[in-house]
Amino acid sequence: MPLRSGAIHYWRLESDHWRACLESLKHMGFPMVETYIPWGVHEQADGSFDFGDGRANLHVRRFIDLCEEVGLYLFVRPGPHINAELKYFGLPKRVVFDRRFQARSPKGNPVLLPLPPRMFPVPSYASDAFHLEVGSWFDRVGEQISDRLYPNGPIVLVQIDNEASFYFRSGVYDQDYHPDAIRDYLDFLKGRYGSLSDLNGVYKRDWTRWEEVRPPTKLQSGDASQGVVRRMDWSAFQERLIQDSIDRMRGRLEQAGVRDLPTVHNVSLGDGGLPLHAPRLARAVDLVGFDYYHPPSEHDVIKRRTLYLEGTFGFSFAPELGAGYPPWFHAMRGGDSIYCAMTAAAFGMRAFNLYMAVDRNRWIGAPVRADGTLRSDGIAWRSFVQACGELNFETLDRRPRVALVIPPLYRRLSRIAHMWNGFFNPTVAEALVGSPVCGATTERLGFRRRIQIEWWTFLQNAGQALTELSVPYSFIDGDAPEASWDRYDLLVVPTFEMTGPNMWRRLAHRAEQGKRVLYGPDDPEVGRRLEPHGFEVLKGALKVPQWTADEAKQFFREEQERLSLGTPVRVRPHQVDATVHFEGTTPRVLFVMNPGETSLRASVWLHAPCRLWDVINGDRFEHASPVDLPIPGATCRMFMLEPVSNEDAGVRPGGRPSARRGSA
Amino acid sequence: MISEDIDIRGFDAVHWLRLLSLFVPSIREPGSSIWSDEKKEKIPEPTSPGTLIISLGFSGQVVNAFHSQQGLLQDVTEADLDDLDALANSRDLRRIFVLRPGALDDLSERLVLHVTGHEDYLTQWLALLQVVRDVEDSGLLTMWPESNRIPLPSPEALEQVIELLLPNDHSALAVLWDGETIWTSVVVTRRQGELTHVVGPETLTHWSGPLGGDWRRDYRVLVRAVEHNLGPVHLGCFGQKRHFRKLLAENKPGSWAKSVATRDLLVHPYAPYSVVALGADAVRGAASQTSRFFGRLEPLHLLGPVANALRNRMDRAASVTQALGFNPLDLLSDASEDSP
Repeated sequence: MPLRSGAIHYWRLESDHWRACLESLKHMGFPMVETYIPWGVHEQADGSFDFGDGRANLHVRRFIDLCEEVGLYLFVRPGPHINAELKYFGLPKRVVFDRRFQARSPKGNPVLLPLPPRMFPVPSYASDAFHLEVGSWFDRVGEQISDRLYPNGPIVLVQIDNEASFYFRSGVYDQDYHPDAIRDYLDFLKGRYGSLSDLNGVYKRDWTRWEEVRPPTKLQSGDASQGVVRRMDWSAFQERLIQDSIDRMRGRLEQAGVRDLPTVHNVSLGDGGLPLHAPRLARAVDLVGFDYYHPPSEHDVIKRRTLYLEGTFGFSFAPELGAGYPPWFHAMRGGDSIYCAMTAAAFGMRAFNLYMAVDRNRWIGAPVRADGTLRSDGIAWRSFVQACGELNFETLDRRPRVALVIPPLYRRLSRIAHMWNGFFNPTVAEALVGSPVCGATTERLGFRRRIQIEWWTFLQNAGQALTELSVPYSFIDGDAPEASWDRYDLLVVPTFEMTGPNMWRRLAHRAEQGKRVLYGPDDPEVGRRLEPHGFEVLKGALKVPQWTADEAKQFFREEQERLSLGTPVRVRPHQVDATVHFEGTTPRVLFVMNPGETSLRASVWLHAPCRLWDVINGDRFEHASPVDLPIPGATCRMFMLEPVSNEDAGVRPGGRPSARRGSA
Repeated sequence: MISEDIDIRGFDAVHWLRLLSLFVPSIREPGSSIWSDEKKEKIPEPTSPGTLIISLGFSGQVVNAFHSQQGLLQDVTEADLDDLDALANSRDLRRIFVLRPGALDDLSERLVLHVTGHEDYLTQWLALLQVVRDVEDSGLLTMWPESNRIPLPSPEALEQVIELLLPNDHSALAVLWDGETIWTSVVVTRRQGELTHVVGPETLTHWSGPLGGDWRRDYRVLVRAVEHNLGPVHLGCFGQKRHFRKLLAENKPGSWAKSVATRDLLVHPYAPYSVVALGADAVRGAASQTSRFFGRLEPLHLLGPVANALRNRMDRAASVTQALGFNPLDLLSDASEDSP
């Protein structure tokens, strides 16, 4: 079953409208509906729970039954934290204000999240007491839904927690200094170093007891390299803390009876600056996805994030594909959300949950009103969703053969080098300008180069060069699962004097298999503890300089020829972007994107001659070389492709090509 | 002041953006042409100047310069810190923050001493603004332009002003038409001392049912719909969007009063302070007109008794401007100065 759903918040609607809203979703082409189950709404002030005995629109079981009756599967998200623009992010007030549960700043104070409708102190992911409380909530959830899990009911997918990014207080020295977090941190160090003397050796400290060891609280200006190691360990611990916490919650939910279903976690905007690591998170859940709320001006960000998911996991999923936004968010036009959605699809998003599909309190711009009627915006959404269904879009493939490798060690270094704490942290900075290094100190941190900035520049220029050459590529995390690497013939990796040995071993293994590696600008010398390391020479690899985009193009032109890297589509002018998706070797879908504000005409050269059929407005274009396409500003056009050679395969004269076709 | 359960609904993206476009210069009205009708020239995209955050190291060296629109800048130096005016002009900046080590850590740690999470959101923001000033006073933070040092209102004073503008258990609404169609609207409601509802046109017209298309009649239907669903209406403001935008942009003395007099703008019901605001506007208008005839004579003082009489009769309402320190109508107009 394709993973495509639309979000409804049952508790925010009149229960009399549930059926109409669900039927609207079905009519739009969704096989599934998604909902949160909000702890802070079901738990009443006196500690009792209302699951529909008091307010009809809290009757979650009735809602579940109705989903099944209408013929929809269900994706549930029971939290504990859900955001959903609820006060306290959907947590009960008493939980948020219980000091035992609260995350702690370096001075032991609560950590405030400044978002509306009220700033509040955020819980600690490490707090045992908080996890105990979460367990009680999960027991309640289990009572309501555990007998409605597939195949005994419509629930087929479960999300664990929500955007686990320390509640957007994700500065590396923001939190968490809760006693339980400190305890876990010491265990982490013991596991990593074994003995205190080994730790002292690396950190250049003279602690005499483990109890004396304290986490770092800021980046000191002019920090020597050893200080960098200590801080990167702290950042790595935070990644582990979140992974373990999600794992713990998943286990507790299973204990409550919600088991044997695939699990999901969603990563928020600003993912490059977060204290979590997608491949690590994928050890705790089955599927990791990204949430998308981008205007067209963030085209490159949409592209990068989707290419990263596609490259790292082989499958790109958006647990929240924005259709609208909260009123206190950056205001966007109705068409902006669908631009984001279609552009994400263009770069490989195969599965999504439209958030919000149905309107509700504190939301602007959902395609379906709260009474189930479709807004005018909804027509384009319906066409897009239906087209994805008709095309079996989840089975198609862009067929990239080039991967730009994101070294986790450098990402971590950028994070610990970020100059701000508090409300203006790496996540917020990246969400503003799309770069995880923009807030990093420009000091050298004991290295010959400013690794914390230059790795990103290296990859940006590589990506720009490949785009200009019309060569499809992905991003891949250096810790991506083994199977994710198989499809790539060319790996491009920024490399400096400090390099992660595990990632290098992986590259060496791929090079042995005949994959081509471009690395640079430096040879690796030391590992993550700054210990000299014997990095093996990569067979057949080429060292490249800290290149500009134009210089990178020179290198890639040679690789294009060497590896016969195809260009399934070329497009002009340069402001326009384009991708092609294949069914086997047959081109099936073309996307053409104009993120600028000005309408223009694009010239599109397809490698294989095809007719084009716009899935939104029905425009048809015969094959030409190039095809001349008008594209309004801030618009992504999606075309079904029919290879000209398939002319006799059953197309009705003047009719629409069938979506379900065999290969050429 | 703002309920933690505030209900915001009834806006689609178009209506919401239209509402924002009235007051936020950088937001273009959705669907508006980027071409100027008269000159066939492209209307420049409304832009906001950026913000620059400069982080210093322990030796006072620039270790990071972050531009809100451009990201990391690598050519900002210590020499730039000597003349922030010049830096702002050369980079088209609206604001510059210079952070010394620990500034933001200090801000976060100080804030939790004042904000527990139980306060309302406006109160929390007042506390945040005060903490920012404290950090500035401590020398860890420098702002350009220099922050004004007008004392921040206390939450109680702010609450009094809000009570004045919108009494408890009342609503205020504004509806703008484009011809016969509602272009956008907003209803705000206050209950038990808190702002509880912000309602958009979809919900408003759902309540009202079908309208006739004549805005000078339909406004009464809308007022009744709000009264039926949310309670008494304290102030309603109605008009055509083109006229309203013109009023906001021009801020000509007397223009608001004249619009009400000619029924290009309907105010119903009248809140006391709106009478005074319009009265004050009329006085300003008259003064500006008469001063042209009388040269250097300043005739305003001739009208002073009239204005005084108005103020004395509406003494509570007159304190709005006094309490806020500014004329709200002026502020609205200033904010819309750069609107296309």
